[in-house]
Amino acid sequence: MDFLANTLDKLPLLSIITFTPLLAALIILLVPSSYTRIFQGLALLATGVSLVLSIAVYASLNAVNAGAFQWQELHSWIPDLGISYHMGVDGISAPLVLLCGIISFTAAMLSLQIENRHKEYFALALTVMSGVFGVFTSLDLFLFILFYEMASVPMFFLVGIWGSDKMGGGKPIYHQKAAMKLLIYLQLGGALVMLGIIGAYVMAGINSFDYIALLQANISSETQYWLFAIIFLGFAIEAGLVPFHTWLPEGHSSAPTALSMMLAGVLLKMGGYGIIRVAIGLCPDGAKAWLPIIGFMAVINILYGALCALKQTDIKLMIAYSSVSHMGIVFLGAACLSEPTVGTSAILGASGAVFQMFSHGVVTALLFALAGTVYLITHSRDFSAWGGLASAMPWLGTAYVLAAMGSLGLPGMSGFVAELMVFLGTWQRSPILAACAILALVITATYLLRSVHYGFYGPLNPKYAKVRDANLCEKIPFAILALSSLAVGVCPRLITDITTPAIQELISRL
Amino acid sequence: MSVPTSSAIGLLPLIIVALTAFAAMFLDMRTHPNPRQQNTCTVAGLLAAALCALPLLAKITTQSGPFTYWEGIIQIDYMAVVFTVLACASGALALLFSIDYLQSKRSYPGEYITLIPFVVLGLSLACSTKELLTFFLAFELMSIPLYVMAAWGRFDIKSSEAGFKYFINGAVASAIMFYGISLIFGSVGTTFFDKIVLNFDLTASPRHAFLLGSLMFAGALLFKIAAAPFHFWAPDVYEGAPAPAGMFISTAPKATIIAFLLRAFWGTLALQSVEFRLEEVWSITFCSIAILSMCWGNLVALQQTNIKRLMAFSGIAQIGYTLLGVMASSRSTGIAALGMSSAIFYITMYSFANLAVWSIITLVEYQRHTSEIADYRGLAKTNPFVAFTLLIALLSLASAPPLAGFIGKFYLFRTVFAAHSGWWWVVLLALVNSVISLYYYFGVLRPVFFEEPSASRGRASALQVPWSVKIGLAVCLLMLIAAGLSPWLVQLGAEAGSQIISVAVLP
Repeated sequence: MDFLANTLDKLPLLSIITFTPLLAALIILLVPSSYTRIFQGLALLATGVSLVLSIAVYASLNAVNAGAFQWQELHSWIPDLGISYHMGVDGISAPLVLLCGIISFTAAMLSLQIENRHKEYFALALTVMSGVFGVFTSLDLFLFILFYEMASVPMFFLVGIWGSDKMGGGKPIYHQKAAMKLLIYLQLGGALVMLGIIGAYVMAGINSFDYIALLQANISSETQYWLFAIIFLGFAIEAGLVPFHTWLPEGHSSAPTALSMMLAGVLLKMGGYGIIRVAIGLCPDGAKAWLPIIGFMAVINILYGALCALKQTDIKLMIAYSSVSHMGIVFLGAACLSEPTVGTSAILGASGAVFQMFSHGVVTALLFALAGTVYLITHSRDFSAWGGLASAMPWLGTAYVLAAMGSLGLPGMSGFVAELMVFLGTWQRSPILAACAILALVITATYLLRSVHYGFYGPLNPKYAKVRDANLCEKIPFAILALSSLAVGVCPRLITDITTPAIQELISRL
Repeated sequence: MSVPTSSAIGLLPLIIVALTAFAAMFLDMRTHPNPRQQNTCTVAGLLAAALCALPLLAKITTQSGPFTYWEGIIQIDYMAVVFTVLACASGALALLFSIDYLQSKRSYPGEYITLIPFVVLGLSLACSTKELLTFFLAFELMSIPLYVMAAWGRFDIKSSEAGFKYFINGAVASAIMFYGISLIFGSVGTTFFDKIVLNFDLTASPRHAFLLGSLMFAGALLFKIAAAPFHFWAPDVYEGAPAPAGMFISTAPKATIIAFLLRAFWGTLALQSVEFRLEEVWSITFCSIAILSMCWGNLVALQQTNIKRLMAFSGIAQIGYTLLGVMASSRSTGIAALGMSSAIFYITMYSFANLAVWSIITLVEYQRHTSEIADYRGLAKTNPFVAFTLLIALLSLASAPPLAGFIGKFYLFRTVFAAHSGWWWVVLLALVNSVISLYYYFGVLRPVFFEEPSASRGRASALQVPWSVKIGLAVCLLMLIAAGLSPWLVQLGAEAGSQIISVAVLP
């Protein structure tokens, strides 16, 4: 055991986690396109390796060391431009790396449902996975942008080729159009982030894109004010801030199941993570000026997303709008950092934001996985037309109820802890905002329970009398996701123990 | 002034290109010319020239200084070598990509094959000179064959029209350039760069004539690289000209002229005196032209359904980004070397990406007789390698990582930001523009990847991709991927920029 631990210590684990999926993607490109089994096997193997190693990295962190960056790797890359290859995780990024591991692996398992053009699909999907791992593990901001784009560009093809259209009630959504919209929005966000990072680099006056070096540089308050606005806006587009969220419901609902999971589970978190790490981390003075406004916008996000979700009968669209609403909680938690001195508000709020990112990641991925699987079986995304599916597919029905409970914040599930932390933090700062946000919980419960009621309970729709239940390849990811949510819900210290020191470190700079 | 070097080794690449040009011409004059053989010989000659040029990089380090001949009529420095190699490589690639197209048409292949090395000779000369008249000569040497190339498909009315349009507009540009040179000569009494700088303060001639002359000179150069508002010829010429001609017109000449712009406007034509602050004039001029080109090119490209026209507008926009680098390399910013290096890097990468895209346009044009984007549907199914190359090349133009275009744009924007941090909005505009460009670049990829091949008129059948094209495409792919990941090209560009600065004569 000691030997194993020693060997692991010496390996560049973060690089291995990040590049294993990409390596698999490159191998897939070289294999002739008829070897479907090989592609599937490679994808599972690569994401499995990343998952196991991300658990190992996560387990190595503890309350003592999580405030500083661990597992650092630093190599020179393009010295003329001040670009280096620098990786590392701390208590804020480690839960998200773990989240990435979980979602990638489960998404790879659900990718077995894909029926055509396997080679291209797996190559692109694994590239996305490498990209998202890279975003959370990189400490050089150039590298960060590079991974950020690597995660978002292939989405265009994944949504455009393997996506599904929304038909049924209301305005139809075509997946090819949704793909273009998603691409443009994500890239616009990326462009703003790039401008902000280049600005920070130039204003800091040191020839380095290294995050740790930039933290030490002095950027004037006025510059920080503008830099924060630009970088925040860029990430906010990615994280679905109203009114820049319109790509999100369309993109998420049109994507194939596994990619809906990736989008909602991890790609949205890139935005949330970027706000905490880059925007607030690099421009603390700017953050203090803007965060009160952001708190207000966050509440709009929560309420607006919930109200939109209430109106949907398309299951994937409903989940997508619930993501808008739940990302609002992340914004609200981050906004607590505006007053770092008021009681425990900042620590609770910001840790809650990280907790919510993890929780929303696994719960929404589970919801999308279930929705996609039911769609695969029934060929309908309109849950009002399903009717009583729980009796025909007990596994899927049970898992869906569990996921809905996790999403609406039932105590014992992860969503409850996250929301509680954020609302406690916000209450100390501004009781009115907290009250408005808590109101949305009622709406959330309404739409989720309604979908359970229409879709899974009641008399079985005779059309679906002979449909199959989930098979083993689907049950395993459902179980992993549901158990992750339960585990951190029952024992929140699994996450808070390591996020709190990192958040304290962040607050000390504010 | 640097000491003239006696060694003639620096001239070797130019001599080889010239010999190749004549060899190509004579091979074509035989009673039974064999175009394929002629093509192979020409490619070999151009590659030999490139291979002879590369070792020169080691001999012209910053310590030993560049080779200078005839008081600067020819100066072989880093910039000259880099762009000579680029011109030779583009020429060789264009020939590899075009030979099958040429043989499938009624027009005579030998003409095109002969013209390419002459253009390359003009380009190599243009990037190596520090004298205005020699530059004019080189400029004409490269322009006239290009007009003929545009009109190569003489049985096609569109091609004739393209050639004619290009010629008329180009001739006007040349005339304006020549008038500009004469004004410069009239006000400072010389056409040598170094002497222009020295004479500028000595002569009491009217400064406005000098400024007007330089403006006219710049206008003609901007015409050739199709920067807005001098771009009106480009879409028609690109669309009408045979694809192989469009391929070459849109790559190597643009790169070389950007190189010459950097050389001429850093320190020579952007002079400072008490009543004149030409640096600022040029910064503002290049900046506004860059903005105009980016916005116009990108917005109009959104509407195109013909891929050749689309590439014309895309080229206009790309030149806009590059001109930002030219703008950032003005001396007052203190980071001139970085500005030059970013522009050099960007235009080099643009050339390779463009060559790859145009080679595919060429393939489709002679095998499916169309250049409508809609007819590219299903290419990913029928020709995965071609589709993959198109993907990488367009992604690089659209600056997706980790490709060369991404790091190029990053480098460029970083430099502009550092040069004029008050002009951060220009960077914002450029970034927004590059987001806009995604719509049409991915609009090309949409039919290629999303749709099934259509069965009508035999278009479902796979394209025949000859070996020569495969090799050329592989080279382009390698460049686009390797340059994005390894820093050597960035360093080469930086070296080129700083050498120009170190050997220039300062007032």
